[in-house]
Amino acid sequence: MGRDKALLPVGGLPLIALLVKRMTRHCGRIIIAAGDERRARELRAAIAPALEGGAIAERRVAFALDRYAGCGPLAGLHAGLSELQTGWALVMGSDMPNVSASLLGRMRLAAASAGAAAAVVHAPLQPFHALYRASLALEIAERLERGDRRLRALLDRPDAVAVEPETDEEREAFVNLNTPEAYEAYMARQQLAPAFE
Amino acid sequence: MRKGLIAAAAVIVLLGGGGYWGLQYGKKLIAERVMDEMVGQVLQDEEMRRLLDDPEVRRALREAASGEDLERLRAELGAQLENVAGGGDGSGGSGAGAEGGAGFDGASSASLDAGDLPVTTVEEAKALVLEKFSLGEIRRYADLLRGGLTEEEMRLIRDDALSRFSEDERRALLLVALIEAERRTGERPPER
Repeated sequence: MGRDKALLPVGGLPLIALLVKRMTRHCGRIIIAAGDERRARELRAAIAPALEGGAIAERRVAFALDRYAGCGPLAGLHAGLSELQTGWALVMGSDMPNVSASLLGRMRLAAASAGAAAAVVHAPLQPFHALYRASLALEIAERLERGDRRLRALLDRPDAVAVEPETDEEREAFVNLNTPEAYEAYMARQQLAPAFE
Repeated sequence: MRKGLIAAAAVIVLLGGGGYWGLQYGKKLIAERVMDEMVGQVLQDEEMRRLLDDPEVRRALREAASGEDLERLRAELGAQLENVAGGGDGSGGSGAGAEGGAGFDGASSASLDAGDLPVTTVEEAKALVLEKFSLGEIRRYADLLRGGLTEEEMRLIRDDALSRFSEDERRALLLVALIEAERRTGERPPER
C-alpha cells in the first residue's frame, strides 16, 4: 500500500500542488528538491493543475536534483539551497500541507533581528517549516561528503534560532501526512472525504 | 535586512522515508543497500572479477538474468563457481566477506547448488533480505530516514541484515549478486 505522500489527493489536488499553491502566497519562488529527473517529471505533471490558468507563473517554480543521490532529505535540502545561492528559504517537507502565516512572520522577524548571527530559524526539534540561509549549502555538502546525513544536526548549530509555536494554527504547521491515520484525520479536519484507493 | 526580504524563496524537500507511507521506501532502501553491498563484495573479489571478465561467463550470467533458469547457469559455470565459492585453490571466495565478518565468508565452505537455491532473482533476493527484518525494525529504520542516516547507521543496517542469513541463503545470494554484478558492469568491456 506504499504510495507517494507528495501525490496524496487533498482538496482535489495532489498534496505537492496544494503545497506549491500555499507557499506561493508567502514566497516568490518555489524550488522543489525532487531527487532525480524521473521524480521531477512526475512532480512537474502533478503540480500542473496548480499552474493552470496562469494563477501561478510557471517560472516561479523550479526543480532541483540531488547532487548526493540516495543521501536522504539533507541531500534534498542541499539541492534546494544550492539552487538559490543567496538569501533565506522557507523549507517544507513534501508531506506537510500547512504553512502558518503567523509563525512564518515571527520566524522572519527572528531572522531579521538576529542578522548575521542566525543561519537557521526553526521551531524546537522541527527541521521543516523552518528558515535556512542558502549559504548553508556549502556546509551541508561538507557534511554529506563526511557521510553525515542528519538533517536535525543543523538545528543544534550555535547560529540556529528556535521560535516556539504559540497557537494551534502555528502548531498545525508541523502536521505531516505520514500515515494513513494522519491523512484521514487531516482530511476529516478539512471536512473532505478521504480518497484512498 | 528587512523582514519582508527574508525567505522570499521556498524549498520543498521531497520526503520518501518515515511512517507508514515511507515503509515501502524503507524496505526498498534496506533491500537495495544490502544488495549493493553484496554486489560490491563480488566486484572486489579477485576470483569473481576474473569470472566476470570471461565473455562466456558473462553471456551465461546475462541469460540467467533474462529469464533462463539458474540450473543451466550452474551447469555452465558449475566448476568455476565452485572454485570461487568453495575456496578453490585457496585464493578465492574468502576475500569477499573477510573484513566485516558478516559478508560471504559463509559461502567459502559451501558449494553452489542452484537446484535448492532459496532465491534465483534480484527481486527474490531483496525479498529475502526483507524477510530478515520485522515490520517494527523496518519502521524504525524508515523513521530514521526522515532525519537522514549516517554512514555508520547504514553500515549497521547492512551488517545486521547480512548476519541473519543461513549458509544456503548466502550461497544463493552469492549467485544472484554475481548476476547483478554482471548486469551493472555490462558496459565495461572484458579485460583481455
